[in-house]
Amino acid sequence: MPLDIFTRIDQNDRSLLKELYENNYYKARRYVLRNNGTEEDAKDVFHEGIIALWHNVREKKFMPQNQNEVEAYLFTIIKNKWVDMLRARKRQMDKKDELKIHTELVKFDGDEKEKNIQKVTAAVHRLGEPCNQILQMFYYQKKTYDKISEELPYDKETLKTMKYRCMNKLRKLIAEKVV
Amino acid sequence: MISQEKEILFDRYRLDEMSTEEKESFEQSLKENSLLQSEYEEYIQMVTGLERAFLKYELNKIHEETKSRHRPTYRLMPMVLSMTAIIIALVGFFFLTKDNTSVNVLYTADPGLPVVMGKDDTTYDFSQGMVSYKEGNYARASAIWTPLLSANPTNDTLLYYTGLTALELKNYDKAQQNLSLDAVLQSPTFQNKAHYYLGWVYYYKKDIPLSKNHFSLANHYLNSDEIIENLE
Repeated sequence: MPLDIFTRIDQNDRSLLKELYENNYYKARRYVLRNNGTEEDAKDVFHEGIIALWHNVREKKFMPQNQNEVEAYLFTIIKNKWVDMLRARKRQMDKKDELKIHTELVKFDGDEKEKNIQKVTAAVHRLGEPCNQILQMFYYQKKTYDKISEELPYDKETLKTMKYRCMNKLRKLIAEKVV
Repeated sequence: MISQEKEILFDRYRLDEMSTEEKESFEQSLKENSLLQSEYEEYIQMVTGLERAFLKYELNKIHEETKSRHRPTYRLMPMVLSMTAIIIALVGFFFLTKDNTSVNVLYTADPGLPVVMGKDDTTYDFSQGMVSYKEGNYARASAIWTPLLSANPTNDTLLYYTGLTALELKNYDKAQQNLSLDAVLQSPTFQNKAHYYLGWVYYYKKDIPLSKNHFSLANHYLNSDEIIENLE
C-alpha cells in the first residue's frame, strides 16, 4: 500500500520532493521571472515554499488528503512569499540604493521558538564532517543506529557517543553566537 | 546541556520506539516535571532546526539534478561530475574517518561573510561566490572566485576563502598553498583563522606535528585548544 502524504512528508521522502520539484518548479519559476524576479529568486522562493509546506503539515496547520492538494497549496505559498519579498525589496530600495541579498526568505511566526529553530538551522552549516553526515542520517533520514553503522565505519555504540557529541557541538555553536 | 541518557530517551519517544507503558509514563513525567519539559522543548527545537537545514541541502541537490536534466546540451556532464564528486567525497570520507573519530567531530566550518551586493563588478562577483559558499556549493564558489584571485593575487580575503573552498573540496594541496601565503598569515583579520584551517589541512594530510603546530598558532581561535588536547 502506498504511503499517505503525511507520512511521506514526515519521513522526508526524497521521491516526493523530486515529484514536487518536477511538477511545480518550472511553473513557479515562470511566475517569479514574469514578476521581476531572477533565476536565483525563483530557486530561493521555491525552496522556502517547500520548507513552509513541510512545517505546516507537521504542525497540522494544513492537512492534505492527496498530492494535488499539496501542489495547489505549495503554489499559493510561493505566490504569497514572492509578493511579500517584492514588497520587502521595495521598502529596502526606498531606504537604500544597495540591494541586500536575503538568503533567509522564510518568515514564520517570529516567536522565540521559531527564532531558536532558525539559529539551529544556521549553525548546522558549521558542524562539518562527520557530524553533518551522522545527524543527517539519524534525524533527517531517520535511520537506526544499526543501519547507520552498516554505512559508516563506526559501530553502534561509537555512533551513539559521536551523535551526542555532535549535538553538544551544535549547542555550543549556537551559544557562542558564531553562526 | 542534557545528559546522553536523556537525549536517547527523547530520541526513542520521538521515533515512537517506546512501549505503551513507557510512553505513558514519559508523557506523565513531561506534564509534571517542568525541567524535563523545557529540556524536551529545547531538544525538539534542535531537531526541527536540523531537519530544516538538511531539507535545504536536499533541495539544493535536487535543484542541481533537475537543472541538469533540463539543459539542452551537455546534459550528462553535470550528473557525471556530481556522481564523481560524490564518489570521491564518500571514499575520502571513509578513509578520513577510519581513525581518530573524536577529532573529526571537532571540525567547525567558517560561516562566511555577510553578503551585500555592491555596485562594481568585483564586489558583485565576490558576493555571488559567497552566496554559493554559504549554500555549501563550494565548487561553484571556487569557480567564481578563482578568476578574481588571478586578477588580485595578494588579496587576503580571496586567498583565505579560496583556501577554504579547496579544503571543503578536499583539495588539500591548494588549501595549504593559499592559506600559507604571507598575505593571509600576516593579515590581522585572517591570521588566526588561517592557522586554524591549516591545522585541519595538515590533519587531513596526516601530518599531525604540523597540524598541532598550526592549531597552537591559531591563538585559541574557536575550539583549537580542544583539538590540540585530542591530538595529544
